[in-house]
Amino acid sequence: MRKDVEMNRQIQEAMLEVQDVVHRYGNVTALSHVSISAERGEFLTILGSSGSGKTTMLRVISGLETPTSVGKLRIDGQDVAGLPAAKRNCTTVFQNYALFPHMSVIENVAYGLRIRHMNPSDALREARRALAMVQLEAKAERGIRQLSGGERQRVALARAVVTKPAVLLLDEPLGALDERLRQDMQVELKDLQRSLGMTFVYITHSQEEALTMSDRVILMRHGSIVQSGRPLTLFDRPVSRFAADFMGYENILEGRLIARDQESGLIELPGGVQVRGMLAEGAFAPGDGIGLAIRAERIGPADADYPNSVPATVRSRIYRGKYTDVVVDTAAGALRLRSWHGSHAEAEDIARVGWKPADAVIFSRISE
Amino acid sequence: MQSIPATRTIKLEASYSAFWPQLGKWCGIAMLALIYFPLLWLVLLSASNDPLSGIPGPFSLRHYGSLLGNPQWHGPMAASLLIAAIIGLICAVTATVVGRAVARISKSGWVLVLFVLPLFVPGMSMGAALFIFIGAVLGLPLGFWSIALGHYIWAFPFSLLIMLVVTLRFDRSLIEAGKDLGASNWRVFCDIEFPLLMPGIVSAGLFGFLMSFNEIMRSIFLRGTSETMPVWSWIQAAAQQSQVPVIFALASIVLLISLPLLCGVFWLLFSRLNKV
Repeated sequence: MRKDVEMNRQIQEAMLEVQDVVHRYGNVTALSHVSISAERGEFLTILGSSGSGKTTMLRVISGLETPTSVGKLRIDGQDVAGLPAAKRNCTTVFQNYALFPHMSVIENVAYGLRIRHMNPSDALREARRALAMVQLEAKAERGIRQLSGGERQRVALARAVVTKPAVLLLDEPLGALDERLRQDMQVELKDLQRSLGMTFVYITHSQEEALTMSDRVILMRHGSIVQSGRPLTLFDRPVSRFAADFMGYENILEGRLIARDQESGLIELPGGVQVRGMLAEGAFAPGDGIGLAIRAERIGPADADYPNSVPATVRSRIYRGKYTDVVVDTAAGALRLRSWHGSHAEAEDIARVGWKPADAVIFSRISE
Repeated sequence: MQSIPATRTIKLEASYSAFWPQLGKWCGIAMLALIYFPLLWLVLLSASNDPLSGIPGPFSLRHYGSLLGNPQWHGPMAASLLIAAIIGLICAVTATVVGRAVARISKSGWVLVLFVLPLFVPGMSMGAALFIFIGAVLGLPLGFWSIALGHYIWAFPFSLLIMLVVTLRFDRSLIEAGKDLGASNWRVFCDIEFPLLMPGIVSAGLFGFLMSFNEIMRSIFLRGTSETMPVWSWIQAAAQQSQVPVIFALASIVLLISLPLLCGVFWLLFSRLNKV
């Protein structure tokens, strides 16, 4: 009984439910049995490189793409599987903004309201309020061509949120902006999302954007979900070789699991060295071949008595100003180190490198 | 230190000689003169007392006066204007429909070639072909409508090319944005696509009008007993010496109307479009 109530509440709270989407372009499968959901007010990020199917996913949700098949597609509880894009309670911030060049800023923002037959003075007032929200009130009468990239981005945002959609879809909206602006906009987007309490589904290929803004991240590859979870889980506990690589782990080794407890495992690397690491999500049993991922900045020179270490010889060193990149050879393979200790570390000889067990991740899906 | 000889002649290869740009410049000027001088002369002569003398002046509007007093050209002129207006309108509509469709084909090269080929089919061949087709195959009478059909076939490729300037660079994501914001397909077309294609639509129409208005080769084959303005002028010029000064006046008027219209088309297409 209690469980039913609990479940009901969950269903009520789900603003977006997509179950078992399959989409093919000719022979190419863009989405292969993908299911995602987002709760009210959640900032969900779909992360992936180009060709991962993330944009197709977004277009399926918005209705701009009709999927080959879909089990369930609901927005704010409403079944939208058969509805055209125009009838769905969601809007999109397009990657290239897709602002109407023959309309002024305010006309662009008010367009969605005009379509909904809001009377013109109310529509203008609402549009102005949306523009104020993105600090562009002063440029309401400008033409689109008179705006900078960042300003266009804000107009696109205002135009999409002004109709108060249940779900806002954002297709790499910061992709075209320069570094500085991108970082500012990340903060602004997050603030906006929080103050509107709106569900955001955000598409990006940048793990940094995914980490800084999301409540939850879905990592996609080849039309399937590789891993999903809180941003930190993806960052610290990748479940596969691809996930580790995508999240920026420079060192990925293979070994064999010898023993495990609840959270950590003892593994043997090629060359017979035994080290410890944290277990990512997955099925592990002693004897399994596993992968070990460690970030370059988490590895350092170690003393001979440090338990989590391997003998090493320096292959190369590149001083990069802020840090030094060192490559060492070990019995388990080459390892990359990043030292932040300045140029004096240049001369230091390294005989052994090691890392904390908490900084090494053991994952089971080594071939994916 | 060795000093460089002050008068060292640099011998360039013949193809780099300064002679070529100079020649190009003067050839260009000569060409422009060849194009525009006769036109200018025509306008001047049309307002002269004796155009056939070849020397402008003394100036008078005598021939314009007799043109106004002469009702003979009214019929052909009306026919030409009417056909041109119909062709312009049909061209604007069909070029829009076809232009939008062609822009959506991913590999539109061959389709485009097929559409544009009539531009290079000799007018005589097309005229003869249509003459046979309409007269003998379909058994329809030659006249106003057969001329219109010939003109349409002639004008459409031009209109389509002009339309494609606009449709090919139309950003399809704007349509998606419109739908995404809740607009029906029809609203998207009215609110977004149509206004943005407008310069192309108007240009296609104007161009269709001009192509039809000035057409003669196909008209000769297809006219039956009807006369369009160019056909009438041609007949007059060929047959009656006395009418020629009137034709100069008429030709000048046509020129002074056509040229600004054409300028308008290009302004719409290339200047306005970039500002939207």
